[in-house]
Amino acid sequence: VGVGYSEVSRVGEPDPRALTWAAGKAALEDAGLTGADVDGIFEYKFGSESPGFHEAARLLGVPDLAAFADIMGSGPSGLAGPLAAVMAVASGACETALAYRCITRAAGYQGGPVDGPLEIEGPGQFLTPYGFLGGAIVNMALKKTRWMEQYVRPEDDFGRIAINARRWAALNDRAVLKDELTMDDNLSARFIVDPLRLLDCDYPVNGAAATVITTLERARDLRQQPVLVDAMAFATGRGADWVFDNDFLYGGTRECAARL
Amino acid sequence: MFQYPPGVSCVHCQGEQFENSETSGLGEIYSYAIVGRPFHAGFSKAVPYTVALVELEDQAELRLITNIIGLDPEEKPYCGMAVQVDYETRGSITIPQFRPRGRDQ
Repeated sequence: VGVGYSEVSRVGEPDPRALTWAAGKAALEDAGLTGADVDGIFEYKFGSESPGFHEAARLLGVPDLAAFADIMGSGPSGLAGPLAAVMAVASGACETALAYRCITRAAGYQGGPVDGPLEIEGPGQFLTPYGFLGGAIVNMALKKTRWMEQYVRPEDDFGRIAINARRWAALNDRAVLKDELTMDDNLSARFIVDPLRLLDCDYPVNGAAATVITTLERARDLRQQPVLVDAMAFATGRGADWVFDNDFLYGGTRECAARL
Repeated sequence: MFQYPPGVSCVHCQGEQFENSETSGLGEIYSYAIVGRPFHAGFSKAVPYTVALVELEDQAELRLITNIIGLDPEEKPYCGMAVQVDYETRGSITIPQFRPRGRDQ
């Protein structure tokens, strides 16, 4: 029933707390609410630099939280925060929830080699010794290879994703990259990990976005026409894992579509 | 049944009784990617190198993240390429890598 954004920037190192506060405050104002009306907070984060629900609650003057969680990057997606808020409100655990995500360039891999431990334990011992590094980058390159060879498809399939993502971004006043992309741009972009190219990757930015989720009854008294959530679904598929899952190409997305 | 990586329970039958066991060491490339720039200083002399998912012959969907070694200079790997295990010792650990099947070291 309300949305808000911080400034979005490509350069500099803004304080993640300031971004979170700006987005949260704007979302509440958009709905005609204040922090005093909030009793639920759900955050989705990649890195520890993004402020958690405790800090967001303090910054926004929330008196008490009945339902809250910081959902880590292993969670379903950037939508995990809002969807957790929907579940919390629908269950009655809270009445008015703020869902947000704050990301800064510090959360992402910035390029160039980094130093790190020379020995590794845990799940990483089955990945890192082989140079499976840079977060999800190598895995995404493996998925791209498998897609192209299994279905005998050209790399253009992936170029279309970037071209269309940029086209839709250009309609958004807050987008930081709006110049049209061509297939030539995509197919000539340098490799990050062959066959994954620069324009297959997302772009590091600083920014936060927040939305307010509440009951229909409460929404009727607020400033904006509410957007109703009709259905939502998650899925993992069998053998859930980022790398070793049985369903390497789809990772549960077909089950998710069927469930929805 | 095999599983990889090793776990604390059998993901197929929920049993607790399992042990390290040998496989054929034979498989096919399921997918591969070529890392041309180092992400970690320790790999700066290793680039370019090939990271792959290799599916072992022993069991469907039994896959390892590994490296493909022993390719000829202009040779590209491909999905379905037959490979066999080869072990590299690095300090106190030994890691399984794969080379094209039947090719000498």
